[in-house]
Amino acid sequence: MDDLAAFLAAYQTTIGFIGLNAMLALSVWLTLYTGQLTLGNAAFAGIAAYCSALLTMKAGFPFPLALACGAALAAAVAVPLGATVFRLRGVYLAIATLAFGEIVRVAILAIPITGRGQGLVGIPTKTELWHIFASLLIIAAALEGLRRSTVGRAWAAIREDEIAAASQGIPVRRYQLAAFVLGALVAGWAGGLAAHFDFAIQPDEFGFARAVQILVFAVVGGIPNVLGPIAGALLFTALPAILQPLQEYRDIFQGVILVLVIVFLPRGLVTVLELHRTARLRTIGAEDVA
Amino acid sequence: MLLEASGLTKRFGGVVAVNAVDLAIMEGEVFGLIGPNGAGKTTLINVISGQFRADGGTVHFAGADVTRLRPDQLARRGIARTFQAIRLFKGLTVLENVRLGGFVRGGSPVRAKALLERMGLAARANALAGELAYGDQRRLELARALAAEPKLLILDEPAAGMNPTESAALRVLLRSLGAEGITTVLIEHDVRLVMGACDRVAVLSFGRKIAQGTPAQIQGDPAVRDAYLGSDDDA
Amino acid sequence: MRPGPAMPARACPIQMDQIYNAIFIGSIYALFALGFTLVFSVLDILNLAHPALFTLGAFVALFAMQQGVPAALAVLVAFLVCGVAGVILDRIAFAPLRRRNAPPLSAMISSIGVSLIIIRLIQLKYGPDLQAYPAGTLPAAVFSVGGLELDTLRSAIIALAIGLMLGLTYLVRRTRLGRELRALAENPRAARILGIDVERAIAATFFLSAGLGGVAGVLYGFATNSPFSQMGLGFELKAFAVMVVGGMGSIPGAVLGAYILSFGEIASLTFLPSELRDAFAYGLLFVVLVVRPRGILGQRAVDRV
Repeated sequence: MDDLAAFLAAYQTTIGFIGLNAMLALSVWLTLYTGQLTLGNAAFAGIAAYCSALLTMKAGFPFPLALACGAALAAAVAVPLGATVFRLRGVYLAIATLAFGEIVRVAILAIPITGRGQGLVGIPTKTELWHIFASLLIIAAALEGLRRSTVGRAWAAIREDEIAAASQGIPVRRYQLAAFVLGALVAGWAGGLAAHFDFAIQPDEFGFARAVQILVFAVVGGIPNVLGPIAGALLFTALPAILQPLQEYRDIFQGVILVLVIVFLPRGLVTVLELHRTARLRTIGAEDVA
Repeated sequence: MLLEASGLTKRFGGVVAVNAVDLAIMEGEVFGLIGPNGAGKTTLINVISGQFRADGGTVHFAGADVTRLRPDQLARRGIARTFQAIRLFKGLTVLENVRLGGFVRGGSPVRAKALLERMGLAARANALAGELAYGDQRRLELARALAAEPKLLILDEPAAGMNPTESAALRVLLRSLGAEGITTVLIEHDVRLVMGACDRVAVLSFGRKIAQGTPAQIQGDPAVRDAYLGSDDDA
Repeated sequence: MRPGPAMPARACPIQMDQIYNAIFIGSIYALFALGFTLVFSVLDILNLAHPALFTLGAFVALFAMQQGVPAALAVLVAFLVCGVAGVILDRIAFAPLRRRNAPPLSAMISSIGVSLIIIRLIQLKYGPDLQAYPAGTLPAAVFSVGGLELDTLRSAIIALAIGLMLGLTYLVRRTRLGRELRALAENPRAARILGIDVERAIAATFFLSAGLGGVAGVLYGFATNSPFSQMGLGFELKAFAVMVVGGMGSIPGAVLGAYILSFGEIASLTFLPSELRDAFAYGLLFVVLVVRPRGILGQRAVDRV
């Protein structure tokens, strides 16, 4: 037990980030599962991070309430953003969320209360590992349950063929928006936890680079179920911590792996657990979606 | 009257694909829509089923104006359809496809399995939809449409690629749908199917309706023969 | 050499030098956006590695000039290197996806991967900070035209950019390749049936798109004399605003949108602080998305069923 305690203490930050990244990856996974690309989830996390941190620091909010408010704010912002673009083709979501990410970053830099470029320091470090992993467990279980329900099946249908899905009575836009907003909520919760995990946050932590990172977790991990994004987050968070000397080349590895996965195993690494199904999908030319 | 289209028009750029077409579909009937390729049949039903927006005219379903409704809204009102180029959820299983067809009715697996039995696909329930033979895929698309328990079923060339045995079975099925309270609109090139299954037929040519009547009346109509340039269109 | 395009925030209406600046920056926006638009119109995919090629251009020129290559030649070198890089990018990241009819989502993600690689490689060689082109290699001469002070560098950039745009327009409208590209954009299957060598046309598309993007990068690098590895991101968002305003997939739309944006930005400086100059582009982007998503010259995409 002592060894375990020592291990946890030494790697506390990394383990915490595995959990946080897993939640962020799950948030992106939701939108990917309906066949769309969002690059805005780091910004949602950022909005919630700043909101919840300011609430605990300046307004004395209790920790759980601050987290909830942060997540709710992120989700609230996601609604008009999503409503604007989900009636358009998928490329517009990618563009709009990318732009949104930058807008958030610029806004943070401009608003004095956020500490601007210096970031926000002195955040009470209320987040403990068990908060992170309990949240992850609950969120993962809830999302997997959702995936197996009618809603999840509808999402899969939308991903396969939007037109056919609509003709079966599935309100495509509404369901895509739901996945997107739910994703923002999850990203927001993770953002709030992240803000209180390390005593400071900076705008760069929630910028484009971060958005790309969590996309990599989700895509490389895989889309068939919630295990994929979690595995992706674990792989890409733990590995660099172990392979310290290769930190410099981390982006290159991620880029190479991303391309390799999309080209050769598009539904992600987790599908190696079901290669037979993947082979069948490949035969009928459906290996990208289902 | 279950479905009424009045003066329905659809333009693409400078081309008028559907030109002021009127249709009145009665409850319980099997209504055929025929015409040479490019006559606008698929475009017409795309407008009726909400995939395209009408440039003129109205569509009324069960008395209500549904002209501006989206496909999923029409599905909830009881209109189901199949597509000319099969649009199955290829990567999902046969059973999942039919369950999704029943989305507006809750998507129960029990009802889906019963439908698969009826369409002779129960043995392939766990196959991926994309793995099915072409004829089976057509039947699956039909099963999926029926899973919604629609009032109006629109079929775009359901017999394309079917052999004579399969299309005979389809003919029997279509005739039985009326008894179940399902009205059917059918685009087809298979003459035997149209003559054998339809109560009434409308003929489109260059976007206009040029004839309407019973199959026998249509067969004898010189305008119809001219539209097809005198050739018999056997599937 | 000035550190960047001069943007005085004045209270009075637009002055001649502001117009000159707007034309200048708009020309670079246009060159950059044209690359995006070319690929989008022909292949229906958003190549998110385009900003990386933009950055690559600036750095290829930097490298060349550090070896003693004169500036004008360095531009050509950048064009060629980026053009080839674009073709390679397609072979690696897009062609395999095309072969199996993968959805556009896959191509976007794939291009993000390539972008990561290119940018990181540039960073490994040059670091993340601002660089500068070798002293004395960029023209610094200034001349007067009717009371207006112009400089050789920006005038040359404007001339080159407009020349390239005209060249591209000629290519698209008057050459066989241009006809093939337009056919591909309209209907890929028909194009194949008509005997067009689709893969060759696509390679040409990427060569042009990446080449133009790379040239835009060099020119922007020259103009600011501070190329840096993240220069593509801010520009990417401007390009999105340009394309959405002008109409996704429309080449004349990209040019139109570029100047609308650049003139709009200059005008907005009369009431916005300069840090929020970028906000104009984002604001414009979202306003257009809400009010008229197809932009000025874009087509509404009709799904054939």
